[in-house]
Amino acid sequence: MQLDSMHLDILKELGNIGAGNAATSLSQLLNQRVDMSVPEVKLLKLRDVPYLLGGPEIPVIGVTVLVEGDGEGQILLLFTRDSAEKLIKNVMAGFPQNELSEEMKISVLLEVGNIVSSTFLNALASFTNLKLIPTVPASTTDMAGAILDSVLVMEATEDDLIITVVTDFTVQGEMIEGYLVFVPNRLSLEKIFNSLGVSL
Amino acid sequence: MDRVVVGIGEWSVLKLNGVLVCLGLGSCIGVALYDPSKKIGGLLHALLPIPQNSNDSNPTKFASTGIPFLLDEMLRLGANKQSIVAKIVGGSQMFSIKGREDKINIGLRNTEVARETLRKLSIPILGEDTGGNFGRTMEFLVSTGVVRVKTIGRGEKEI
Repeated sequence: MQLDSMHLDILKELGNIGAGNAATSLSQLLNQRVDMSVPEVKLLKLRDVPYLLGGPEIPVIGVTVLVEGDGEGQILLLFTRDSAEKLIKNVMAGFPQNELSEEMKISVLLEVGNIVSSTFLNALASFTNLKLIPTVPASTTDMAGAILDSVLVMEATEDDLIITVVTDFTVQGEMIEGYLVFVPNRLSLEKIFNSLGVSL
Repeated sequence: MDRVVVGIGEWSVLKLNGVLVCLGLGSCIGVALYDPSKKIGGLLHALLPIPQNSNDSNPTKFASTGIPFLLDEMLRLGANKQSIVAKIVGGSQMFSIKGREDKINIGLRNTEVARETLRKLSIPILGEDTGGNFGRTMEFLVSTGVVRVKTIGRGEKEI
């Protein structure tokens, strides 16, 4: 698949729109003032994503949803353990921290994944007029490489560029770093470009 | 001593000593082939079980085509076909998504196809650490044929 600079610009713009919306929904969830740097949209090969987080063996928390409907693909949210802890602490502010069970922490992350991926897809759907529906999210904590390769086997696009959105946001002085990885499969990419009147 | 990291869809062969590594195997499958008589070791890091369309030109992306490819490379370096044994690692299912098991059980398919391909080539499997829902790093010591498997929170073992 050949993507030229116009395709890349479109993907970046889609990433920007989706991430902007996702970020807003996250600040509503946190119900606090969230200062956010402009999300940085990168187009990377999927196999290179683990290096953003420090390498394939670095432990990370991944929340994933599959995309169904007019286009198929996958959205993966990745957090380092520190960032995930900070995020949970902020979402559950007011709740006694030492009473937070592992199960509750995971469901907080799943809910964050749910909200962020739905908003991202909604933005994308309204931009392209495609119907894009997320599945129920799933999460795991493991090596970045192992999490990413499980996305690769599902979409089999390791040579293709994918949209990676890196967002830094600050909640009450704490920096939380998260990665949103959007992996449209080839057919979805064609549909996305077609909907915008661009051939692939 | 050489330490060669074998990335997704890649392969490498070493002779006498050195370590061949697959970092963070999830659904992917790592296949180590070893000729103990010549101390020739090869490692394949396959992404998928079998090629899905004719555009897939890289044989080592797949277990079904990557294993014979790796075997040929080892034979070319002087390995003895009758001596070659195998160890396989990986093939897990990292996420459970209800109703979409069809899409996410490729790790299991990778393991099955690797076993079947090795059986057809009459290469015995001496060790295996596959399946589950967690990632593994695989280190293959070419001087001894030992494969070390490392995980996060599930310890380390040798096969």
